[in-house]
Amino acid sequence: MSMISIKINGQQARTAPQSTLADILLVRKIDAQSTRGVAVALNDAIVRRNDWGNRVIGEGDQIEIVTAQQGG
Amino acid sequence: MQVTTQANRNIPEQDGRDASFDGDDQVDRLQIADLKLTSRLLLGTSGYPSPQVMMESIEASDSQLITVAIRRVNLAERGEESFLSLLDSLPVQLLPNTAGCYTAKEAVLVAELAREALETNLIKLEVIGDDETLLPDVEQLLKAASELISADFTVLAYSNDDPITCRKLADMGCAAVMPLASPIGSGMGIVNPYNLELIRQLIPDLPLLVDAGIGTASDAARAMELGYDGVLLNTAVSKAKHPVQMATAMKHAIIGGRLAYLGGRIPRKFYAEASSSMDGRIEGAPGATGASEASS
Repeated sequence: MSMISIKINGQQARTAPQSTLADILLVRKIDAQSTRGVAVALNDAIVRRNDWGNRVIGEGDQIEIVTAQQGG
Repeated sequence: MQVTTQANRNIPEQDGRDASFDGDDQVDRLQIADLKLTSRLLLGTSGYPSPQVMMESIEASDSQLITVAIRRVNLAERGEESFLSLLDSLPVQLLPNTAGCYTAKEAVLVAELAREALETNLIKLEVIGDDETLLPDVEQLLKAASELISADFTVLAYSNDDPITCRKLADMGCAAVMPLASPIGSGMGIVNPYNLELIRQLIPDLPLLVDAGIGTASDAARAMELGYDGVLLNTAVSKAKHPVQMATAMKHAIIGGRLAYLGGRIPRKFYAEASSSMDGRIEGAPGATGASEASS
């Protein structure tokens, strides 16, 4: 199966075609039900956790997974 | 600010407003939108020598509203003890910021991510125009504030010390306006007290906080004496030689400054006014240059 290239938090990554955002996050131990304190953007637009399972990821997509860190 | 030409020129001070009492318990609270805080110190979480020192500083400060930034999750290290879980153990509310955003578009996205991640409508809005001064890009700041307010965010807007910009932010519906004392992290204290006074006079009824550039306790006290409702600071504590001590100092300075403001300071006078009465003085020896008929 040919993988597709995407970017996650600025790093190149490869994933199976037709992966959903939820699939990609789950591999990284982030799931919509239990993970708190995290939010996700796809191509500069927020994707709410209700929609993680619906969004299919395509070639060249850029995913940002963020949380709270130290700041002033 | 009027300066009269009389012998004892008075520079009129602002009338001290009443303390912000809520209910019958006579506690002077800071109210920002729905938040009711007894501490008027907002503290940042950046730049401490260790997480332990950060936690101790927050506790020493008694601050109830703590700022955080929104940044990428470290996917390589997903350990149990995350930054957020540390803060969870404290009786504080988190105030996410849009630090590092240069456009309204970026700031709005970061705010939305913050709201989703932290389940709060609170946002400290920063939209920066220049890397060296970190001064706000006013045009983008106003645009971002307007969009976020329309999207039901509770916006605490970091601003420059231009009274017109501050008033625009206030009029459009920000929950608080936060002009800088001096550039972020500069520690210069209040470089333009006149502008801060103007801002306070122009915007009498909205929470105003001095945010950025505080260097030491007296800067924070001065901000409160100017009638500001609170102070937001970070570097002054986190990069102090002894952060926990400085956090304690800031707590006391802000309490002291607030009480001084409510106490209603005496006016500044150009000449002296004796504090000890001239009545009842003993007579001087003959020939001595006794006091003339000075007014008491």
